[in-house]
Amino acid sequence: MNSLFEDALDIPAWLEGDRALAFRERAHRDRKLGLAIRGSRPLVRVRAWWRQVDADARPELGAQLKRTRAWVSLVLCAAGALFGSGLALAVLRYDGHYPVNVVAALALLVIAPLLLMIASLLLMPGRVPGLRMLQDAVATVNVGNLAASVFNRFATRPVGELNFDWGGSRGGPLARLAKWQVMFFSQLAGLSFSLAATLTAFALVVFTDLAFGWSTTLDVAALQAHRVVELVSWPWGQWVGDAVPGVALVEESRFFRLDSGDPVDVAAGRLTGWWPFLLMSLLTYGVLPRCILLVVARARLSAATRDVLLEDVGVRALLDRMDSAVLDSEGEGEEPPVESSSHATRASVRFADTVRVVAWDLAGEEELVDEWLITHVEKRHGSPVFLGGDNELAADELALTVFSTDDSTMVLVLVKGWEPPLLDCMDVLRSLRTRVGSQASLLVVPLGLDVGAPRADELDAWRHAIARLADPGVYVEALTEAAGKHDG
Amino acid sequence: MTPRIAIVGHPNKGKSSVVATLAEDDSVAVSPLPGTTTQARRFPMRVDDELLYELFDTPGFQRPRETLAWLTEHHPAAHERAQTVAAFVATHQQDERFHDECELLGPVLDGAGILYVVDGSKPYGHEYEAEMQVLQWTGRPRMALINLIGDGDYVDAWRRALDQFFSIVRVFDATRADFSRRIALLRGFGELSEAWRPAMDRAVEALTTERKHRQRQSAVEITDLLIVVATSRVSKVLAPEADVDAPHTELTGRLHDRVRRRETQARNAVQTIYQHASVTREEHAASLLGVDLFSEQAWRVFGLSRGQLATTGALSGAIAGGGVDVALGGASMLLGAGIGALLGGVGAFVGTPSLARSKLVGLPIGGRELIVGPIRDPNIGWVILTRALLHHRLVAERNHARREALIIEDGAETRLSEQISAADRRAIDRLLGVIGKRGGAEVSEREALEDLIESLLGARNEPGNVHE
Repeated sequence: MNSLFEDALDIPAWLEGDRALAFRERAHRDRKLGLAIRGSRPLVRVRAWWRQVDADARPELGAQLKRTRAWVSLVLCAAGALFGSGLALAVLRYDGHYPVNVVAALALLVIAPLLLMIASLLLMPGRVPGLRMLQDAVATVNVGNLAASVFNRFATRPVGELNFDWGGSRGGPLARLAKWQVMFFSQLAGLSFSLAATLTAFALVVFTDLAFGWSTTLDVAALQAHRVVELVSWPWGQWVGDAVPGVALVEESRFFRLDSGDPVDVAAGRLTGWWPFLLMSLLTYGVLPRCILLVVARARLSAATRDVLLEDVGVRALLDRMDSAVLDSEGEGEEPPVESSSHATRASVRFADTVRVVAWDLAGEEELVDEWLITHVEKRHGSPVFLGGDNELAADELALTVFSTDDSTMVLVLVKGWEPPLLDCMDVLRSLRTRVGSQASLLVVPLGLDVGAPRADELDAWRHAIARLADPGVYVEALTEAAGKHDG
Repeated sequence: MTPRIAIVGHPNKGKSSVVATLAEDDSVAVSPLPGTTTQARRFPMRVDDELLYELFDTPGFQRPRETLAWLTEHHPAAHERAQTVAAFVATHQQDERFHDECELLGPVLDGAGILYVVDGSKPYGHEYEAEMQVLQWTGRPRMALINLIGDGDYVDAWRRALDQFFSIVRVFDATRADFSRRIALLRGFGELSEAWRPAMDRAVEALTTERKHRQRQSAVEITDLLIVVATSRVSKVLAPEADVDAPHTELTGRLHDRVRRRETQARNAVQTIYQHASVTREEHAASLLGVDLFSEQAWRVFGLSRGQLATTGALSGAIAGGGVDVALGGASMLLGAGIGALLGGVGAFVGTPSLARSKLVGLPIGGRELIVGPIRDPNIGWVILTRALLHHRLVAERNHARREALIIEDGAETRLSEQISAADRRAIDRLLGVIGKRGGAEVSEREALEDLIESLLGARNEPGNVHE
């Protein structure tokens, strides 16, 4: 199973490419998985989805960065341990002459790391107005930030804006991730330093004989020093009484290097009494707070990593798809291809001496027909024969009997241009052709609304339908006034 | 009982447009040429695979008079008329002449209700009566829909005729109907049969929820676009002696490209959310020429600036020198720490360029970094937002029966911008300002911005009053 860190980088990257898949497919896929995945926590759902989704090319960015991060962590641990151990060895060096100065040991092994740790706390709240310069300075000397910079420089970076060093990523979840990554690196190095120093001190105590004393140039009375010791020992004083040096030990173990003879005039065995205090100081002020801060940084880093994942727009859309019902109303099967309009252009028709007129589907529009004929046709023509409309078929058949091969060489078929040509009309044209013979011309004239000209698309539809009759004697013309009156 | 509705009528009266609108399906062939639909096609509406209703797109009547003549010829009693229609279909199933009639009557005989579509912008004609009578013979629940394809208005004449044959008559512009009208029509289907009402109510509820969901998803996309615009910056490591002008121009171009790419991505996402992914757009890219950009140069080694590196050097030197002081038992009077700090700090400052050129594992460890962005001009955020709002409005209101490109006119967003209240403006300005300054959005800011944008999207797409 991948880590959260890998998922937080890989899932958004994969979803970015997934946008190419049709939305419908994505919706069905994600809803199906969403219904199958138990649990309501978004993080659990998204990660479960990622394990189950059929993803061909999964990104390896997360794994690469995880490996790099692990190496950086390892190097930090090693460096911290080396430094801690080395410093402890140096500070606790005892050549049998002067005892180890507890003040110097505390200063270098406990107080200095504690101050650095407190300084690093300044980075935890993120950018604080007014503290920017101080925070930048702290970040500059922070070993975690240096490690993050190295990580940032040499790791394969995601396409986005992710930078792991302090202030590298600006605002939002990426900045939080960067901040807590710095904190995590920092606490990791600090903890390994403190642990190594403590273990080294413990090893020196166990395997060598150390003598401890305290020395300072300052004018500090033994009683005052004991008060400081008591204060420092307060956290463990109640439980580990042996680790709190008494007044006598404090008083007896003070030494000055300028003194001649033995550094301290007490039994060597008494001078070992400081070591429990020193070890408890290292554990209490070094190891323990670093552990707590490391746990906090780890938890916050996880939270920031989770935010990087869950605040991604693609992931939010994914959760929407998983948790919302899929509405599907598209048609089944493929839509048959649309037939394109095609018809041959024909030469203009010449009017015969006499024409007969058929009005198709124009029952109720007698005035329109008469007006149109007056306006457009000066030839001799009989009364229009009204077909279609609410006529029964038998009535049309009867009306068609007036047509024969003898009495006309042209039939003008007026139709409503605004209505589409039905096969019913084509049937009538075929019947008319049978009656008037193959020599007669059938001129289909689509009328426009209010005696106007039909629209181009209306004319096109009629021409398309008439072309399907495959009758060379049937024409479609939108007669203008001039065309109808010529050749008179 | 699953409601089933067959959309029938004369050819070329917008039946397919009605289906495309209700089913939100761009694949439905819509053409000014009559007879485009040649086969009945099923459009099941499912919510998580639960079937709520079915629509059937059908071809138009071609020989209604002949069909009616066949039916009347068999003159059954009124209670046997539906069986006679079934007999007609059975008899003519293989007859090419009645292919379209069989296709359109098939779903009706299988239990579908009838949605009869006419064009109210063209005059009523007697020739329609034959097909209306045929439909009457089926005995199925019927609703008539007066579609408005053109500019004419013959609705009253149509209504008078349709009232004779249909229990419910509605006016519906298939290519311009907004969401509320679609919902009203679906509710109308529920009125056709008492048994259909629960399923139609659930369908309406699911669609309404989906609508709100789409607005939220769009708000998320648009918010992210705004955040990217407010925070994007690009950088490039330069050689120490390199000229800055050309890289600056290059970075500016890259920043503009990033903003435009994200804007296009947001447009596509919004269209996908509203099932309009295939609709082409005609829109000019936002002009970013001359837009004020933040720009800075800095030496960086391991991501540290020259000053930061000098501080690091000084502190490192002080610690090293301090070690010497400790070794000398304080006899050096902290001189080691002071000298160490001086040497470390000055050395790091002076040596940064050389160090930047050094390579580790083949990679330069630092260099001069030129950073361009983010966009400083606050108006750009508004331009991007209003363009996105306008696009959303056009997409959300767009009908699936329409086939033309989505045209986003220049300047239209200005009018839209004026409709945004001063309070909303201030809130958006404040949020974008904070996000831009910090370089990213916190969760609360992102959500607040999403809420504001969602309210702006919703305000422009509230279902209006339904006129029936």
